[in-house]
Amino acid sequence: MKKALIILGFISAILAVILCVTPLFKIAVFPIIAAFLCGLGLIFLTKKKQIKTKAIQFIFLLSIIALVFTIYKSIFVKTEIGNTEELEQLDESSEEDAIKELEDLEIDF
Amino acid sequence: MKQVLIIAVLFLTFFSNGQNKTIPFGEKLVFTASYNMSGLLTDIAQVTMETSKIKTSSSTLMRLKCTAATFSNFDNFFKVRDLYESYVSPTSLTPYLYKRDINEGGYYKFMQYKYRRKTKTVESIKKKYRSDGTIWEEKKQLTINSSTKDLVATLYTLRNLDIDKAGVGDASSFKVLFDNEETTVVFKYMGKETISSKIGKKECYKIAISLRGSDLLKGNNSNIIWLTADANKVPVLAKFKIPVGNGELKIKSATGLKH
Repeated sequence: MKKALIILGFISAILAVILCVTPLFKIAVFPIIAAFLCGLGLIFLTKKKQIKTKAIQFIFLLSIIALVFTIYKSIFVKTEIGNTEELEQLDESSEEDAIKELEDLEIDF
Repeated sequence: MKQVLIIAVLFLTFFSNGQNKTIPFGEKLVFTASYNMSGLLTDIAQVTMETSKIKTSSSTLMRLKCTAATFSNFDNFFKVRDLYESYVSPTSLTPYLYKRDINEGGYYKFMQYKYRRKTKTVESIKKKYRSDGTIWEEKKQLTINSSTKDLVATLYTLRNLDIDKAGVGDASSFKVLFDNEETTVVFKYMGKETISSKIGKKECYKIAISLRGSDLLKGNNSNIIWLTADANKVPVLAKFKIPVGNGELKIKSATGLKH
Protein backbone atom coordinates (compact mmCIF):
# COMPACT_ATOMS: atom_id res chain seq x y z
CA MET A 1 0.00 0.00 0.00
CA LYS A 2 2.75 2.37 1.04
CA LYS A 3 4.88 1.57 -2.02
CA ALA A 4 1.90 1.82 -4.35
CA LEU A 5 1.02 5.27 -3.01
CA ILE A 6 4.60 6.47 -3.32
CA ILE A 7 4.90 5.24 -6.93
CA LEU A 8 1.49 6.61 -7.92
CA GLY A 9 2.22 9.90 -6.16
CA PHE A 10 5.54 10.31 -7.94
CA ILE A 11 4.12 9.44 -11.36
CA SER A 12 1.23 11.90 -10.89
CA ALA A 13 3.51 14.66 -9.61
CA ILE A 14 6.00 14.28 -12.48
CA LEU A 15 3.18 14.11 -15.02
CA ALA A 16 1.70 17.28 -13.51
CA VAL A 17 5.02 19.11 -13.84
CA ILE A 18 5.39 18.01 -17.48
CA LEU A 19 1.82 18.97 -18.39
CA CYS A 20 1.95 22.34 -16.64
CA VAL A 21 4.70 23.61 -18.96
CA THR A 22 2.85 22.59 -22.16
CA PRO A 23 0.01 24.55 -23.80
CA LEU A 24 -2.31 21.89 -22.36
CA PHE A 25 -1.51 23.08 -18.84
CA LYS A 26 -5.12 23.04 -17.68
CA ILE A 27 -5.19 19.26 -17.82
CA ALA A 28 -2.36 19.23 -15.22
CA VAL A 29 -5.07 19.79 -12.60
CA PHE A 30 -5.94 16.07 -12.65
CA PRO A 31 -2.45 14.67 -11.85
CA ILE A 32 -2.00 17.47 -9.27
CA ILE A 33 -5.13 16.29 -7.46
CA ALA A 34 -3.99 12.66 -7.73
CA ALA A 35 -0.53 13.52 -6.35
CA PHE A 36 -2.03 15.48 -3.45
CA LEU A 37 -4.35 12.61 -2.58
CA CYS A 38 -1.43 10.17 -2.63
CA GLY A 39 0.57 12.56 -0.44
CA LEU A 40 -2.31 12.84 2.03
CA GLY A 41 -2.69 9.06 2.04
CA LEU A 42 0.99 8.69 2.86
CA ILE A 43 0.72 11.24 5.70
CA PHE A 44 -2.18 9.18 7.08
CA LEU A 45 -0.01 6.04 6.89
CA THR A 46 2.92 7.73 8.67
CA LYS A 47 0.70 8.19 11.68
CA LYS A 48 0.14 4.43 11.84
CA LYS A 49 3.62 3.21 10.91
CA GLN A 50 7.04 4.74 10.73
CA ILE A 51 7.68 5.85 7.13
CA LYS A 52 10.44 8.10 5.84
CA THR A 53 8.84 11.41 4.97
CA LYS A 54 11.31 12.38 2.21
CA ALA A 55 9.14 10.85 -0.52
CA ILE A 56 6.05 12.63 0.78
CA GLN A 57 7.85 15.95 0.84
CA PHE A 58 9.05 15.44 -2.70
CA ILE A 59 5.57 14.57 -3.99
CA PHE A 60 4.12 17.67 -2.35
CA LEU A 61 6.95 19.86 -3.64
CA LEU A 62 6.43 18.75 -7.27
CA SER A 63 2.65 19.10 -6.95
CA ILE A 64 2.96 22.61 -5.55
CA ILE A 65 5.37 23.64 -8.34
CA ALA A 66 2.90 22.28 -10.93
CA LEU A 67 -0.02 23.99 -9.19
CA VAL A 68 1.76 27.35 -9.05
CA PHE A 69 2.67 27.11 -12.75
CA THR A 70 -0.88 26.16 -13.71
CA ILE A 71 -2.42 29.00 -11.71
CA TYR A 72 0.14 31.50 -13.02
CA LYS A 73 -0.48 30.46 -16.64
CA SER A 74 -4.27 30.48 -16.18
CA ILE A 75 -4.14 34.07 -14.95
CA PHE A 76 -1.31 35.67 -16.93
CA VAL A 77 -0.95 33.79 -20.22
CA LYS A 78 -3.05 35.58 -22.80
CA THR A 79 -4.42 33.74 -25.77
CA GLU A 80 -3.37 35.72 -28.79
CA ILE A 81 -2.83 34.81 -32.39
CA GLY A 82 0.74 34.03 -33.45
CA ASN A 83 2.46 35.38 -36.54
CA THR A 84 -0.05 35.40 -39.40
CA GLU A 85 2.08 37.27 -41.94
CA GLU A 86 2.40 34.20 -44.17
CA LEU A 87 -1.35 33.63 -44.01
CA GLU A 88 -2.01 37.26 -44.97
CA GLN A 89 0.36 36.99 -47.94
CA LEU A 90 -1.30 33.74 -48.97
CA ASP A 91 -4.68 35.45 -48.63
CA GLU A 92 -3.65 38.26 -51.01
CA SER A 93 -2.00 36.03 -53.60
CA SER A 94 -4.90 33.59 -53.46
CA GLU A 95 -7.38 36.39 -54.17
CA GLU A 96 -5.35 37.57 -57.18
CA ASP A 97 -5.15 34.02 -58.54
CA ALA A 98 -8.86 33.54 -57.94
CA ILE A 99 -9.74 36.61 -60.02
CA LYS A 100 -7.74 35.14 -62.93
CA GLU A 101 -9.52 31.80 -62.53
CA LEU A 102 -12.91 33.51 -62.38
CA GLU A 103 -12.25 35.39 -65.65
CA ASP A 104 -12.10 31.98 -67.27
CA LEU A 105 -15.52 30.93 -65.98
CA GLU A 106 -18.97 31.56 -67.37
CA ILE A 107 -20.82 33.39 -64.62
CA ASP A 108 -24.48 34.23 -65.00
CA PHE A 109 -26.61 34.92 -61.95
CA MET B 1 -9.06 21.88 -37.86
CA LYS B 2 -11.01 20.26 -40.66
CA GLN B 3 -13.61 19.20 -38.12
CA VAL B 4 -13.80 22.71 -36.71
CA LEU B 5 -14.36 24.10 -40.16
CA ILE B 6 -16.96 21.45 -40.92
CA ILE B 7 -18.83 22.45 -37.82
CA ALA B 8 -18.39 26.03 -38.69
CA VAL B 9 -19.61 25.12 -42.12
CA LEU B 10 -22.62 23.46 -40.79
CA PHE B 11 -23.46 26.70 -39.21
CA LEU B 12 -26.22 27.77 -41.42
CA THR B 13 -28.76 26.42 -44.12
CA PHE B 14 -32.35 25.59 -43.54
CA PHE B 15 -35.72 24.90 -44.83
CA SER B 16 -35.78 27.20 -47.78
CA ASN B 17 -33.02 28.59 -49.86
CA GLY B 18 -33.73 31.73 -51.81
CA GLN B 19 -32.21 35.15 -52.37
CA ASN B 20 -29.50 36.37 -50.09
CA LYS B 21 -31.10 38.57 -47.45
CA THR B 22 -28.66 37.90 -44.60
CA ILE B 23 -25.06 38.13 -45.78
CA PRO B 24 -23.66 41.58 -46.64
CA PHE B 25 -20.27 42.55 -48.07
CA GLY B 26 -17.78 43.46 -45.32
CA GLU B 27 -19.13 41.22 -42.57
CA LYS B 28 -16.59 39.82 -40.13
CA LEU B 29 -17.22 37.15 -37.53
CA VAL B 30 -14.46 36.06 -35.17
CA PHE B 31 -14.64 32.83 -33.15
CA THR B 32 -12.52 31.12 -30.56
CA ALA B 33 -12.09 27.37 -31.01
CA SER B 34 -11.65 25.39 -27.80
CA TYR B 35 -10.90 21.77 -27.10
CA ASN B 36 -12.69 20.12 -24.21
CA MET B 37 -10.47 17.86 -22.14
CA SER B 38 -12.38 16.16 -19.34
CA GLY B 39 -14.50 19.24 -18.80
CA LEU B 40 -11.62 21.72 -19.02
CA LEU B 41 -11.83 23.99 -22.04
CA THR B 42 -8.54 25.04 -23.63
CA ASP B 43 -8.59 27.77 -26.26
CA ILE B 44 -6.56 26.56 -29.21
CA ALA B 45 -7.31 28.70 -32.24
CA GLN B 46 -9.08 31.66 -33.72
CA VAL B 47 -11.47 31.17 -36.62
CA THR B 48 -12.47 34.16 -38.73
CA MET B 49 -15.23 34.37 -41.31
CA GLU B 50 -15.20 37.39 -43.60
CA THR B 51 -17.04 38.54 -46.69
CA SER B 52 -15.80 40.99 -49.32
CA LYS B 53 -16.59 42.23 -52.82
CA ILE B 54 -14.63 40.84 -55.80
CA LYS B 55 -14.88 42.31 -59.28
CA THR B 56 -14.02 40.52 -62.49
CA SER B 57 -14.29 42.02 -65.98
CA SER B 58 -17.85 40.74 -66.35
CA SER B 59 -19.34 40.37 -62.90
CA THR B 60 -19.25 41.18 -59.19
CA LEU B 61 -18.90 38.28 -56.79
CA MET B 62 -18.82 37.83 -53.05
CA ARG B 63 -15.73 36.35 -51.52
CA LEU B 64 -16.43 34.21 -48.45
CA LYS B 65 -13.26 33.66 -46.53
CA CYS B 66 -12.64 31.48 -43.49
CA THR B 67 -9.29 31.42 -41.79
CA ALA B 68 -8.09 29.40 -38.83
CA ALA B 69 -4.91 30.13 -36.90
CA THR B 70 -3.72 28.58 -33.67
CA PHE B 71 -2.83 30.81 -30.71
CA SER B 72 0.87 31.62 -30.22
CA ASN B 73 1.32 29.20 -27.31
CA PHE B 74 0.18 26.34 -29.56
CA ASP B 75 2.30 27.34 -32.56
CA ASN B 76 5.36 25.40 -31.40
CA PHE B 77 3.15 22.48 -30.51
CA PHE B 78 0.86 22.18 -33.52
CA LYS B 79 0.77 25.18 -35.84
CA VAL B 80 -2.33 25.63 -37.96
CA ARG B 81 -2.76 28.21 -40.71
CA ASP B 82 -5.81 27.38 -42.82
CA LEU B 83 -7.46 29.40 -45.53
CA TYR B 84 -10.82 28.44 -47.01
CA GLU B 85 -12.41 30.59 -49.72
CA SER B 86 -15.52 30.47 -51.80
CA TYR B 87 -16.41 32.92 -54.55
CA VAL B 88 -20.17 33.09 -54.79
CA SER B 89 -22.99 35.00 -56.40
CA PRO B 90 -23.91 37.83 -54.00
CA THR B 91 -27.61 37.29 -54.71
CA SER B 92 -28.02 33.50 -54.58
CA LEU B 93 -24.77 32.44 -52.82
CA THR B 94 -24.13 29.91 -55.61
CA PRO B 95 -20.40 29.11 -55.61
CA TYR B 96 -18.24 29.43 -58.75
CA LEU B 97 -14.80 28.88 -57.28
CA TYR B 98 -13.64 27.23 -54.08
CA LYS B 99 -10.12 27.16 -52.69
CA ARG B 100 -8.77 25.45 -49.63
CA ASP B 101 -5.19 25.93 -48.54
CA ILE B 102 -4.38 24.19 -45.29
CA ASN B 103 -1.17 23.96 -43.31
CA GLU B 104 -1.65 21.93 -40.15
CA GLY B 105 1.34 20.85 -38.08
CA GLY B 106 3.50 20.59 -41.21
CA TYR B 107 0.83 18.87 -43.29
CA TYR B 108 0.02 20.86 -46.41
CA LYS B 109 -2.94 20.44 -48.75
CA PHE B 110 -4.48 22.57 -51.47
CA MET B 111 -7.86 21.98 -53.09
CA GLN B 112 -9.56 23.98 -55.77
CA TYR B 113 -12.99 23.50 -57.33
CA LYS B 114 -13.99 25.39 -60.45
CA TYR B 115 -17.71 25.03 -60.94
CA ARG B 116 -19.03 24.69 -64.49
CA ARG B 117 -22.66 25.31 -63.63
CA LYS B 118 -24.04 24.72 -67.14
CA THR B 119 -22.55 21.24 -67.44
CA LYS B 120 -22.95 20.44 -63.70
CA THR B 121 -19.30 19.58 -63.42
CA VAL B 122 -16.42 20.64 -61.22
CA GLU B 123 -12.78 20.86 -62.22
CA SER B 124 -10.88 19.80 -59.16
CA ILE B 125 -7.20 20.36 -58.41
CA LYS B 126 -5.58 18.73 -55.41
CA LYS B 127 -2.01 19.44 -54.32
CA LYS B 128 0.07 17.94 -51.52
CA TYR B 129 3.70 17.95 -50.51
CA ARG B 130 5.62 14.73 -51.02
CA SER B 131 8.08 13.65 -48.33
CA ASP B 132 10.97 14.91 -50.51
CA GLY B 133 9.40 18.40 -50.63
CA THR B 134 8.15 18.26 -54.22
CA ILE B 135 4.51 18.92 -54.99
CA TRP B 136 2.15 16.14 -56.01
CA GLU B 137 -0.81 17.31 -58.09
CA GLU B 138 -4.02 15.62 -59.15
CA LYS B 139 -6.62 17.02 -61.54
CA LYS B 140 -10.11 15.57 -61.78
CA GLN B 141 -13.41 16.29 -63.46
CA LEU B 142 -16.33 15.63 -61.12
CA THR B 143 -20.04 15.46 -61.88
CA ILE B 144 -22.16 17.10 -59.22
CA ASN B 145 -25.76 17.69 -58.31
CA SER B 146 -27.11 21.09 -59.33
CA SER B 147 -27.55 22.08 -55.67
CA THR B 148 -24.14 20.88 -54.47
CA LYS B 149 -22.03 23.50 -52.77
CA ASP B 150 -18.72 23.59 -51.00
CA LEU B 151 -18.19 23.75 -47.27
CA VAL B 152 -17.86 27.52 -46.99
CA ALA B 153 -20.77 28.36 -49.28
CA THR B 154 -22.97 25.86 -47.39
CA LEU B 155 -22.05 27.57 -44.19
CA TYR B 156 -23.25 30.91 -45.41
CA THR B 157 -26.25 29.45 -47.22
CA LEU B 158 -27.38 27.98 -43.89
CA ARG B 159 -27.63 31.46 -42.46
CA ASN B 160 -29.82 32.50 -45.33
CA LEU B 161 -32.52 29.95 -44.66
CA ASP B 162 -35.91 30.70 -43.17
CA ILE B 163 -35.47 28.86 -39.91
CA ASP B 164 -38.32 30.82 -38.33
CA LYS B 165 -40.73 28.91 -40.56
CA ALA B 166 -39.43 25.51 -39.40
CA GLY B 167 -41.07 23.44 -36.67
CA VAL B 168 -39.25 21.61 -33.90
CA GLY B 169 -37.97 18.28 -35.24
CA ASP B 170 -37.95 19.37 -38.87
CA ALA B 171 -34.89 18.18 -40.75
CA SER B 172 -33.32 19.08 -44.01
CA SER B 173 -30.39 17.69 -45.96
CA PHE B 174 -27.80 19.36 -48.20
CA LYS B 175 -25.12 18.12 -50.56
CA VAL B 176 -21.61 19.30 -49.74
CA LEU B 177 -18.54 18.67 -51.87
CA PHE B 178 -15.54 17.93 -49.67
CA ASP B 179 -12.30 16.16 -50.62
CA ASN B 180 -13.74 15.43 -54.08
CA GLU B 181 -16.71 13.59 -52.58
CA GLU B 182 -20.33 14.61 -52.23
CA THR B 183 -21.47 14.25 -48.62
CA THR B 184 -24.97 14.74 -47.30
CA VAL B 185 -25.29 17.02 -44.31
CA VAL B 186 -28.50 16.80 -42.29
CA PHE B 187 -29.74 19.68 -40.14
CA LYS B 188 -32.43 19.20 -37.55
CA TYR B 189 -34.15 22.11 -35.87
CA MET B 190 -34.37 21.47 -32.13
CA GLY B 191 -36.10 24.62 -30.91
CA LYS B 192 -35.01 27.87 -29.30
CA GLU B 193 -32.60 28.50 -26.44
CA THR B 194 -31.10 31.59 -24.84
CA ILE B 195 -27.31 31.70 -25.05
CA SER B 196 -24.94 34.10 -23.29
CA SER B 197 -22.05 35.08 -25.52
CA LYS B 198 -19.49 37.83 -26.04
CA ILE B 199 -22.03 39.65 -28.22
CA GLY B 200 -24.68 39.52 -25.51
CA LYS B 201 -27.47 37.28 -24.31
CA LYS B 202 -29.30 36.11 -27.40
CA GLU B 203 -32.27 33.97 -28.17
CA CYS B 204 -30.99 31.33 -30.59
CA TYR B 205 -32.11 28.60 -32.94
CA LYS B 206 -30.68 25.27 -31.83
CA ILE B 207 -29.75 23.04 -34.74
CA ALA B 208 -28.33 19.51 -34.67
CA ILE B 209 -25.95 18.51 -37.44
CA SER B 210 -25.05 15.10 -38.73
CA LEU B 211 -23.16 13.74 -41.70
CA ARG B 212 -24.61 10.84 -43.64
CA GLY B 213 -22.01 8.19 -44.48
CA SER B 214 -19.11 9.84 -42.68
CA ASP B 215 -17.36 9.27 -39.35
CA LEU B 216 -16.11 12.82 -39.08
CA LEU B 217 -18.83 13.89 -36.66
CA LYS B 218 -19.67 11.46 -33.88
CA GLY B 219 -22.80 10.84 -31.86
CA ASN B 220 -26.49 11.45 -32.33
CA ASN B 221 -27.55 15.06 -31.72
CA SER B 222 -24.09 15.69 -30.22
CA ASN B 223 -23.08 18.26 -32.80
CA ILE B 224 -25.12 21.37 -32.29
CA ILE B 225 -24.96 24.97 -33.41
CA TRP B 226 -26.84 27.95 -32.11
CA LEU B 227 -27.79 30.79 -34.48
CA THR B 228 -29.24 34.04 -33.23
CA ALA B 229 -32.99 34.05 -33.77
CA ASP B 230 -32.94 37.37 -35.62
CA ALA B 231 -32.47 38.51 -39.21
CA ASN B 232 -28.66 38.16 -39.02
CA LYS B 233 -28.67 34.53 -37.82
CA VAL B 234 -25.18 34.89 -36.42
CA PRO B 235 -23.64 31.62 -35.25
CA VAL B 236 -22.80 32.23 -31.59
CA LEU B 237 -21.91 28.78 -30.37
CA ALA B 238 -21.19 25.34 -31.78
CA LYS B 239 -20.48 22.15 -29.88
CA PHE B 240 -19.12 19.15 -31.68
CA LYS B 241 -18.01 15.64 -30.98
CA ILE B 242 -15.20 14.32 -33.15
CA PRO B 243 -13.16 11.10 -33.07
CA VAL B 244 -10.53 12.73 -30.82
CA GLY B 245 -12.83 14.41 -28.29
CA ASN B 246 -15.17 17.37 -27.91
CA GLY B 247 -14.78 20.92 -29.07
CA GLU B 248 -16.51 24.27 -29.02
CA LEU B 249 -16.63 27.33 -31.23
CA LYS B 250 -17.64 30.52 -29.44
CA ILE B 251 -18.22 33.90 -31.00
CA LYS B 252 -15.76 36.61 -30.02
CA SER B 253 -16.97 39.50 -32.16
CA ALA B 254 -19.36 40.23 -35.01
CA THR B 255 -19.02 43.35 -37.18
CA GLY B 256 -20.53 44.60 -40.42
CA LEU B 257 -23.81 42.76 -39.94
CA LYS B 258 -26.62 43.52 -42.34
CA HIS B 259 -29.42 44.11 -39.84
